[in-house]
Amino acid sequence: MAKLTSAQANALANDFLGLAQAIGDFRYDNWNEMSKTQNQQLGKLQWSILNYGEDILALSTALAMDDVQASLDQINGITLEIKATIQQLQNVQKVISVAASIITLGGAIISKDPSSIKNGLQGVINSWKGE
Amino acid sequence: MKKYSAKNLFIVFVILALLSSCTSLRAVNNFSSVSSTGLSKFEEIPNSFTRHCLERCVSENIRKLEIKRTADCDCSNYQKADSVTLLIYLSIRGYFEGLTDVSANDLTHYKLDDLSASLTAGTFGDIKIDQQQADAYKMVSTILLDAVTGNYRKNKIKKYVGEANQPLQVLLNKFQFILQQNLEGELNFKKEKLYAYYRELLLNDALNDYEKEKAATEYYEALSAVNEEQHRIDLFANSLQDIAEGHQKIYDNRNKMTGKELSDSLIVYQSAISDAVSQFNKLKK
Repeated sequence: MAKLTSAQANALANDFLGLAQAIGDFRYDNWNEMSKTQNQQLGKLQWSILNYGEDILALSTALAMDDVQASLDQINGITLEIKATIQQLQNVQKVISVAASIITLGGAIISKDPSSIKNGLQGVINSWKGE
Repeated sequence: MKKYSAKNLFIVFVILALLSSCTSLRAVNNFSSVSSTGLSKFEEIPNSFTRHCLERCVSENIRKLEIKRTADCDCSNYQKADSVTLLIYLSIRGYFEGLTDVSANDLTHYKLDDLSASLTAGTFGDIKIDQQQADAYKMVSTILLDAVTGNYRKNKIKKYVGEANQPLQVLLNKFQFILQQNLEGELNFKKEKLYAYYRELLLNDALNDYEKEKAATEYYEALSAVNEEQHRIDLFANSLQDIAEGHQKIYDNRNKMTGKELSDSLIVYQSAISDAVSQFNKLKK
């Protein structure tokens, strides 16, 4: 048997609403003609149909998952790719900073000044760590 | 003379490439940023399937003149409906936030100050770079880097938009369906229950005319409140259509449009989304 779709469930819920409205109108129009018991029974039926209709709308939403699962997977996959690209582009700044600190270290090594070399090395470490 | 002309042509070419990539990226950035803001309004909609179930449970007890120590409501199916809705919302929002970030020009405005300072910090063997030269290299490098990364991002965005459009249209369509057909539908049931409850009260001979008048006033106030809730959901749900159409526009023109044309065509959708956000905010007050 074919599975109920989200759209079919929604249409069914609307049918339930229409049915409950029709029963309600019949009750109000014949309020004085019906016995109390008949009225109560019809009232209970009307209310139950309304409750079922609401439950079916919730079901329709849950059933929507079947229609969107593949699309959700695709979009979430693309979003991950976008985030990876952003990360990659942000890393370029880090590469520039590291390159700058290596050039400074190079200058320090050529100058043969131990203090500058020490500072230059620290600069490379700091830029690598992103400090 | 020839030498200068070639140099000038190169600079003009680089600047044009930079401007072209920047403007079309800016159009995508503006649209996705406005879409993200519009989408975030979902979190300000107080209605949910679970809330509807809990309210129904309480009003059912009141109608039956019953009080219980705990509300005792089984809302598991309604919670499931909310989970599905939330999942769809978060996926769409995540995509647009990513698109906003990757198309933002700030992302690749790299700072070359450190590099320029390093180059002028001293003498490198036989090579000595003065401040003026270092600044000139920095300027050219910045322009080239912006042009290269701008085009790189533009190509990436083309790819992402191309792959995302079909599933995104499915998700936006389903999100709109859930909100307008199902969540607003629950409120149609709420309205019918209000009508049934107050209609029965008015048919009750035990109530005098004053009490009946009060009941009728209460009914119209409650009805108006539900109509307002539906209007708020509707405003948000209609803006999803604009987001879908705007994204479709980017998709359709991803290979041929210049920044200006893309920007002009997206402005209609951006305005519609912004307008919906503004109306939504007014309703909250």
